[in-house]
Amino acid sequence: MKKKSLAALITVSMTAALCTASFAEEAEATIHVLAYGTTANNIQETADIYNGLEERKGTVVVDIGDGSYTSLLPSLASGEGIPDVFEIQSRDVGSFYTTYGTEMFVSLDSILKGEEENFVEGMIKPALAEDGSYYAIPWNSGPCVLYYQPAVLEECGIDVSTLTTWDAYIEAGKTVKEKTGKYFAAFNTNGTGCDEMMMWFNQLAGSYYSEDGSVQLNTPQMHQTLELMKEMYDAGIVCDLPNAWDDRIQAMSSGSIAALPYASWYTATMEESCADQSGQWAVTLLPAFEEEGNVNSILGGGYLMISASCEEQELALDFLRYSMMTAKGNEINLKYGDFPSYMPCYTESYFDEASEYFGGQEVNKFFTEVANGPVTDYGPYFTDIQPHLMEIVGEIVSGADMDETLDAHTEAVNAIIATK
Amino acid sequence: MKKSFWKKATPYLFLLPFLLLFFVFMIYPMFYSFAISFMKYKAGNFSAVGLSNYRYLLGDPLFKQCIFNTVVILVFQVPVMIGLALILACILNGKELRGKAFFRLCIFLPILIDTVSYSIEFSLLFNNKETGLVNTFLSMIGIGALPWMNDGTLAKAIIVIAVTWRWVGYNMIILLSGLQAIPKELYEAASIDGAGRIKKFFYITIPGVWPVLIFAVILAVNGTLQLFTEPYLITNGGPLNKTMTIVQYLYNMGFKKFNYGVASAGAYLLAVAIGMLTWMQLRVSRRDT
Repeated sequence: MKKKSLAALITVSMTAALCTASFAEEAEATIHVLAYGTTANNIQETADIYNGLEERKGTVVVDIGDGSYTSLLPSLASGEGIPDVFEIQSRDVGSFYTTYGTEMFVSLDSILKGEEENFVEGMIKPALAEDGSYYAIPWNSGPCVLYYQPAVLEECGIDVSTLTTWDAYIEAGKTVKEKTGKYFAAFNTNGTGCDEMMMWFNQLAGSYYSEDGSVQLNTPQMHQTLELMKEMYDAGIVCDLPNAWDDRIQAMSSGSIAALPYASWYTATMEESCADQSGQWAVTLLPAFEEEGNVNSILGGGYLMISASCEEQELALDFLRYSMMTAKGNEINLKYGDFPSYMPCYTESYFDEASEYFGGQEVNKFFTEVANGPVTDYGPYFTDIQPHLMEIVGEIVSGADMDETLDAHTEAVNAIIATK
Repeated sequence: MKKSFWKKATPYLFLLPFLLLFFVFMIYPMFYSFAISFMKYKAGNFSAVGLSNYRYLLGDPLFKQCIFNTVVILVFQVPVMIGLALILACILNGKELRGKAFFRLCIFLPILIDTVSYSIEFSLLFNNKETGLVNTFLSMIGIGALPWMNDGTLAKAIIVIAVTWRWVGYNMIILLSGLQAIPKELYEAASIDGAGRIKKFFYITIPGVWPVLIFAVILAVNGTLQLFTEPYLITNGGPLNKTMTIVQYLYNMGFKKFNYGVASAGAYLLAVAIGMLTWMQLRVSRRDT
């Protein structure tokens, strides 16, 4: 008898606990955000602060995914189990719109319309869908700069202010290589990476599409980009990176690179992986393709999107606005090396902090000065284009004919697009 | 009557959980992806496109390149690995050897290491720079550092070496079981007739182990045709797609380019190829035994 009443008591209390739990869930609006890598830590901290706000519209929970969207894509394709809010890379925004259809996402017009001018143009423009609405909010941008080691340049008698064109840069690189054995640039040449190519192509404001919407890779800007890469490579100043990301870190930490043109978000990796080189690096403007030419470029960056299946859209919109468009949200973005795309925050005092790693230089302030790079439309088919860009770089560096290579790859990309 | 029904149904009821899972996670996806292979996916919807996915694949130079890569790796990989496994199995089956269990364990151990860890390890070993262990060794003996990751042939060699290292022990155990099933009397009789070790190997060992050998070859061929993790992690398909395998091509098509139709069509072409090859191997094994 005793046992029976004990069992009954347990059952009752468990049922009561379950009821309370489900009541609590109903009372409190909750959304799940899927993020990956270091940005996941960033959004976690933002969520923690947001969840503590009095005027919050609910609770934000962060789930960790991976950069290649392995958990996101199947859910999007099936329409089931899509996270409420998720992160995508900037180059994929057009592909997501086309592949899954904009009706899969929530329009962000209510927080973005009228605010366009406040965002970096190169980030906000690609987020505008064909129907005139926004379905992705720019998060981190990737303004590019030249990272260099002042001591090495001084040792070689090179004044960094004279590196105004890529031609001058290559000449300086030859001197550095000869005197110190250190490389003056680094990129992948075996067809498995194309970051640097995309950086230079954006600097030239190149487009991957022709006016009729088909892919066209044989353009003057592409020729210029590839000629520069070939020239650098032939000059012997390029550190080859067969496994681009890992080898770049390895080359940096072993001290074999004296200068690296690359994006702002690389500072976080440098500070973490090459901590012992603190104080040895500085940033300056990218050289231009011709005197007085454009020195800005944007590489990478990301967006947040809301799934149409999200039941708490008001909360999701409020959280996006808080994390991307407020001074506090962007302070956290900056803290994690995610350079904000929202320009009104550039005047905040946290941008003025001197960086110990960069020898006391106000690097974040510097990034704000070069934030407005040209707009490159990665368009609906960039996921198809990118593997070809990697191959093109590899083929051109090893001496292939430029027109033939570019025409062949243009044809191949358009053939796969025809099946879509 | 009622009792006999339940009696008959019992084994199926026990099998039911497996059958349900098998249907949901194997049979249904197989049919569904067959249907998708005749469709395209755009803006959240599938629409029929007939044979155009298959037509695209057969005309795509990259798909041909991937088939070529996979076949080249296969042609070297399978004989080298099975040959090595057979030699090791014979040595371990010998009467004279002491500490057999220890050696068996040593050769079998690589299979217990997970694919991702060992792939990353191999990509470090074969690093292009002098920092890679293999290149350091080659420099020491005067050959000099080789551009492992920038040369198609060398990169394919890394894949063959890595896969062989991992799977040779597994195949050795399979072959060892075959060797142990050969009656000892045959060897004794052959010795009395004056046959040497080589003759015994070709006239007793090989025919005796043949069905098991064919089984190991079929497993190895199927495994190599579906090779993905190693090229994906060690070489990332490079240099210039020279180590991209068929499955990596399909992965890129589905999960990087969001082209589910073409990816499914490719998966079916691969399945047909594997089916045909297996059928041929089984024919060969039947004729000879």
